[in-house]
Amino acid sequence: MKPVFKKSYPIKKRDFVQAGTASIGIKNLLKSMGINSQIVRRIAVCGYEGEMNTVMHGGDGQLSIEMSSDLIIIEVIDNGPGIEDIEKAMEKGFSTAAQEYREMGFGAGMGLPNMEKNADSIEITSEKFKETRVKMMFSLVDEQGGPN
Amino acid sequence: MIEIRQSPDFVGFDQKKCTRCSECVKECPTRAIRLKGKNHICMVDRCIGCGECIRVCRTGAVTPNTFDPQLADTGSAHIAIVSPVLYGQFPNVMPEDVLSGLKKMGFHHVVDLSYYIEMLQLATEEFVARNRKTRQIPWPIISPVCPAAVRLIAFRFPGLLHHVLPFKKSVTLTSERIKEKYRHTAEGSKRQPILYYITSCSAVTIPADGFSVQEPKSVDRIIGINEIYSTLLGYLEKTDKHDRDAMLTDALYYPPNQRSLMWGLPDGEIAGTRIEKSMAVSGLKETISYLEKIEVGLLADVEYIEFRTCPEGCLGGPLTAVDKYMAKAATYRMAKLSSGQRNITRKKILERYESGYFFSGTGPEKLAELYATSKKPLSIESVQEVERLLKKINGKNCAACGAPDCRTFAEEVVAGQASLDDCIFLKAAEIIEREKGRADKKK
Repeated sequence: MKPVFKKSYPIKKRDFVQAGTASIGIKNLLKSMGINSQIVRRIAVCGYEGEMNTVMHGGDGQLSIEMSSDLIIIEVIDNGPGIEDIEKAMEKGFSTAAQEYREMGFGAGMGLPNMEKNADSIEITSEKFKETRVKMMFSLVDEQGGPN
Repeated sequence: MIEIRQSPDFVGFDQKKCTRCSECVKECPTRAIRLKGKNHICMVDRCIGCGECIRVCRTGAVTPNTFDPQLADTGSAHIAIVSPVLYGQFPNVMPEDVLSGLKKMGFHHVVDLSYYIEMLQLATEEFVARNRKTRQIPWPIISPVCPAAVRLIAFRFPGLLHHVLPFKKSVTLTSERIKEKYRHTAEGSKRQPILYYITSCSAVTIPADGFSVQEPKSVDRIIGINEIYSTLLGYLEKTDKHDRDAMLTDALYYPPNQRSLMWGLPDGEIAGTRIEKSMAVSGLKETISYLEKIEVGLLADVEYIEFRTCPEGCLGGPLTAVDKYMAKAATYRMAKLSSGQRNITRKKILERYESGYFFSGTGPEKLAELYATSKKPLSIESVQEVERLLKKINGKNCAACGAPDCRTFAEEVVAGQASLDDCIFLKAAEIIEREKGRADKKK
């Protein structure tokens, strides 16, 4: 069996001070493993967007990484309110962020589109009032490492 | 055991003065310093020359590898290129007089960087304006000026190397021009020139390395401002109007202006340009934190970002003699007295720009190769083992083991380069367990 590494980092609701630490942790881990720097960057962008979504919209949650020699899976799970209309949420510029977050420079409605752009594939499942899961896959086989 | 690099490039360690406090070990941004065995401090990964270890060392055990000037008459011409940071070190002396003092000290010619600083500022402005259309470099464009910041990016953020503006440095352009100019003077055919760079920067202390490995060696020797400070102070008292007049007629002279004075301050590089969406960040921790932000996709609406790993920019460099805030106050006072107008025409800038004059020619790949970590990448199995050890150690990043933090220590244990015996947390747990066992027996 191929070795698989798993680790998850907790994310706290509305904790803007700690926000970003989970994706930075994953990023540094991948760098120490010598993963192509452009792939690391794409994962960092996706991880960060996911983390910020959880901090702003979701409840508490976690950012987790699962990796084998040819694939990295990043998953953001939160127990927040869920996404009402996933298709709509994927549109550029669509956001339900509160005014206070927009004033902080967030909530431009680019989070999910940005994640979709940077991941090789993305799966979003959401159950209203219960949870949202965003699962992103990154192939390590493509040596180029550029965005697809 | 772990491979020890015998000659730390930019700094040297005095084993006798080292008290093993491990401050430098913890602060090193490339985690390159270790304490090994009894009283042995050493470098195990790449040094980027940021000088943080010099700054945090309380006993003076860490020193920069600079050159102690012996300006003996060896038949060569001693030419000093002066970092504008020098002027702020002497609050009540005008820049022209500081240069006169250097001449009295024994330099045959002294050269200020103002002209090429202005040129680079205008060229940077041009690059940013063109980049709005071409998007040759993703926003934000990162300033290439601070060599420690550029190396830090190559070491820890290689994915951001293509954000770095591929320009040469003002000191490189200046020294190239001075060598050529000198050759055409009457003196040029008789005496060989030796170029010195007087600076506050510990990241340029090895001239053979160039100024950020983006460009070839341009000066011969580096002198720390702190090394000549007291000598120069003595000469400044002796300079008079006659010395100043003599300097103004020097073929290599160019008057210092406001731009060069501001250059050493944080924001100083941008201050003279018309780039609107710019920002300046100074300090090592701050630089790292902002590079993290750029790496996760933030700051993409900023066009130009200036990093200085020293607090308060180059005025806070490890090789200064005067406190950075005093120097800053003095610099602002002087800048108010001098002119900030532009002296170089746009036509001239465009001509040079088109000819490729400003471009360093070293791309991200070369930088990554030169300054990436020398550590072997960890395998999935190793990472699993590192995580297991970290749980077991459950430490506080105390650095008592000689490594900067628990993760680095665990990685080295897994790689067979360090022993778990060095962890005082595990030792303490062991002792408590043993004492408990003894107490139980007594019962």
